Amino acid sequence: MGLLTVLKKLKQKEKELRLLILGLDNAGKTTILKKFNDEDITTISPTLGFNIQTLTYAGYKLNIWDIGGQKALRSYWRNYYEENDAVIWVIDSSDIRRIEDCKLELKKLLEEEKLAGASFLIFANKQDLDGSLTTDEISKNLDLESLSTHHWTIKGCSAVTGKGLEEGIEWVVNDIISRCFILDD
Amino acid sequence: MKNYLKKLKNDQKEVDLSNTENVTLIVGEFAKSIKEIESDLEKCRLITDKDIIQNQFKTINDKLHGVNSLLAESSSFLPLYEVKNTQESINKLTKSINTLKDQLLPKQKFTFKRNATTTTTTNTNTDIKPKQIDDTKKLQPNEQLESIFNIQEIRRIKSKNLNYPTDLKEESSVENLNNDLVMSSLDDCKITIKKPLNALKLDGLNDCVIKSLSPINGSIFIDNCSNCTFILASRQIRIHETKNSIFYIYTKSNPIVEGCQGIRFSYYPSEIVHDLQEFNDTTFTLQDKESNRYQQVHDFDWLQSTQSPNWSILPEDQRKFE
Repeated sequence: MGLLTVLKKLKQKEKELRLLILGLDNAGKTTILKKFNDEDITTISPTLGFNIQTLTYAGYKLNIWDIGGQKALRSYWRNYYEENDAVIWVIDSSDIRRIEDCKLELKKLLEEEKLAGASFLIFANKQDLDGSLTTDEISKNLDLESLSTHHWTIKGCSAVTGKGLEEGIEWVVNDIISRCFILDD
Repeated sequence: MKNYLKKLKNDQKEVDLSNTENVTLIVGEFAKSIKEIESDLEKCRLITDKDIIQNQFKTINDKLHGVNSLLAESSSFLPLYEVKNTQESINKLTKSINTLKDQLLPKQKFTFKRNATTTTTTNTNTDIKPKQIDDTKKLQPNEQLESIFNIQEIRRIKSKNLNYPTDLKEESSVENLNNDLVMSSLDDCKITIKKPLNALKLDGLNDCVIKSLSPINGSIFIDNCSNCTFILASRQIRIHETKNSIFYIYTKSNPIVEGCQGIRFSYYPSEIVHDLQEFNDTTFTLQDKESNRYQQVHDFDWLQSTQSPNWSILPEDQRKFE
């Protein structure tokens, strides 16, 4: 591939962002994606493989990959690490029992070389449940404050009501834009 | 940036999941393409002209790229088993292509190292890594030993028959009632849930009967249970590491099992909600057997299309619950 082809390809791709949604099973990843798209969220089956959805936001095309979080599927996550602009890590905020599992899986992701340049949005989902931990409590449990290798933020949200989703996506897109497209003319 | 949701254009890829014909068609397509590449590869062995070989490899690589793209596009609706199978065949093929290429076209001095196969070969590494799940209980180490029966949680109770929330000691007004509930480490208990919930988590239950008289308008997550009977209705049911249990369920999506054995499914006895009309969420059509997906179970340990040995449908004459 010549340099010109490379440049051409870059030009074509520059307005396209690739996002990866990951998290433990039952976190609500697919529900978040469907809610974004204003689709029915009452009949979603646990994800057996993955879903791809394309949205446009502020002139950017977002290619969103939602990968199943089942234990059996987690070893496949790495097949999707290439060329991501951001990772959306989804947490079931009411799942106190597995919060250590969640921390370990997130830690593995953060150590992935292929994801080194990606922004991390942590969605503390299911804030509509009374038994949910707050974003502060989750930050503490996941030890997020010490995270300095990536651009990151944590946002509370509820995929069921839609609350907080907009803010999250807005942060992700703005963060990627400010990181990657400063030299845009 | 307000109301941006409205601006979001839905050009998502809609795939018809119900169409099994598509699956057969595409799986056949994969087999055909892979075979074609294999025979192309065989032809290469007979050629002596390096330029022709070079060209042949270019064609092979284009075809391989085509197969990979097709897999990427179709993997959202192909059964995981097929995706896995095809991915494995492609990996094998990629490997033999590279081996033959090395043989027939010895590497020039200045080449970039290709590692096309790394993506899947590294898969196994995750399993080898030692897991430190022992830390799981770090959050509340002392509380684990206490018996708890409150609005949020039912834990560490033996041989009791409880109604939630009516048997709660504390005076609980409707406002401070939780919309989610966690039950853990219960032995020989019968728990009847008499209020609507949005989420239910069950962990470490033995010889228990868990019955909900109202649909759970969200997900149910079950882990580490044995010899239990569950009578539940919900949007989603996930069952993990559970043995010898019967599920009388109504569910709007396909139930999943992972690490399970001896699980039997039957339909939810909708008549038990009759006297509780106010709890009967109208979005749940419990009597409607058509919308109940209790038979369409996905087993993460059995990704073939044949029946999993880990679960079965309970015969009608064996239905038994009080």
